[in-house]
Amino acid sequence: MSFALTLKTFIAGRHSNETVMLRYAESGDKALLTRLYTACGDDLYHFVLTLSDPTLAQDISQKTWLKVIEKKHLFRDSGKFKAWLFTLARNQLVDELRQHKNHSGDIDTLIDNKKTLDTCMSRADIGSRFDQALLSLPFEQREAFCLQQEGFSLSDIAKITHCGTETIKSRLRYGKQTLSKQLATDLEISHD
Amino acid sequence: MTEPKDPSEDTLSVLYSKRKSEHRAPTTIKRKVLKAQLTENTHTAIFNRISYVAVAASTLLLVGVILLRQEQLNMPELTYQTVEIHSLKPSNELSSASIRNRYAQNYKTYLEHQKAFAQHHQKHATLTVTGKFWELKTCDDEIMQISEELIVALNKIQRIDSKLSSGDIVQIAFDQSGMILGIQGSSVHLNC
Repeated sequence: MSFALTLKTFIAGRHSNETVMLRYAESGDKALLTRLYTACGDDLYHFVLTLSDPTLAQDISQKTWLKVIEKKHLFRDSGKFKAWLFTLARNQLVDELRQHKNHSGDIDTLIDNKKTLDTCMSRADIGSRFDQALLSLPFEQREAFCLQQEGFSLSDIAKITHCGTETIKSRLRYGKQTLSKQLATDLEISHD
Repeated sequence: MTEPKDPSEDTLSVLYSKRKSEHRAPTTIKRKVLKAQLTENTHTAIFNRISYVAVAASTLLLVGVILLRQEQLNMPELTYQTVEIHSLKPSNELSSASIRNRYAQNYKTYLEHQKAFAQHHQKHATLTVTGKFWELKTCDDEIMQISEELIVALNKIQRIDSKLSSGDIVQIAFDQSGMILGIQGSSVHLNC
């Protein structure tokens, strides 16, 4: 039993994103990068998409992966690969949004535009209502909620977003409350 | 009025997962990233190749320098012999005019230097009889060739030991201008 557990841990460790990333950093093997992309590509894109729009999300995702290729030697064994990847993406996104802010005003304005577009979506199913509710959250709450849903711990989220743990807790609490209220209201309306 | 339903965290997670599955990363990102990786590999390969060539060239250069230096260090010490021609023959009878002039000049210079030397000084040398010439070799690697005419002339004035044979140690007497005045046998043993 113990042997099986050890073997399982060994195999899991051997195929973890961190191990694959370390091997990729050493060899630059395309197959290893493909494995990393397969493991985290969709998660990253969805995270960035939730915080921006499809065009920007595609752009940021691509830039992030190119950065992984370029800065692969900077990845440390002690860190989680996904957290490192999301930190890279988040930093790029914030930089991009700041540039947009300089050109077209507030970040929230930019995101509100997206919300306006999304209101045209069908309200028929709960999925769409969840989309609406999620996109109506303030940027920081949406970001914290997404990162938690991606499996990051409070301390990981704090590191990725460069905030304190208490701030993250607070953002998560408000975000979830808003989502719950929104969905509950929508469900009530749809029932009526 | 019904109470709004409060969706649990599980529901939020399910809805989030559902949303994520509906928003997969476009394949163009993966394609571009892998293409970039291929380019990176090519650049790395070229850079590595250049590095290897540079290292090999440097190593060869270093080895070459070391070998050359070692060869220079191992070269035997350059030795030379000074040959002086003592002859009664007029200088214009010598075979080569240039050699004659050069030797005459050198001999003159030598004699001038010898002026500061003791007026009557003597040297010990080993006699070698080769055909018409006598060769007197000193411990300073100085070889004096004595022409037949000079031997006859010295013999006439009894300034030469007629019993001398090849291999004998002789004493050579010079005048103040460096001219040989006599050659006599010597009992001194030369330690060259």
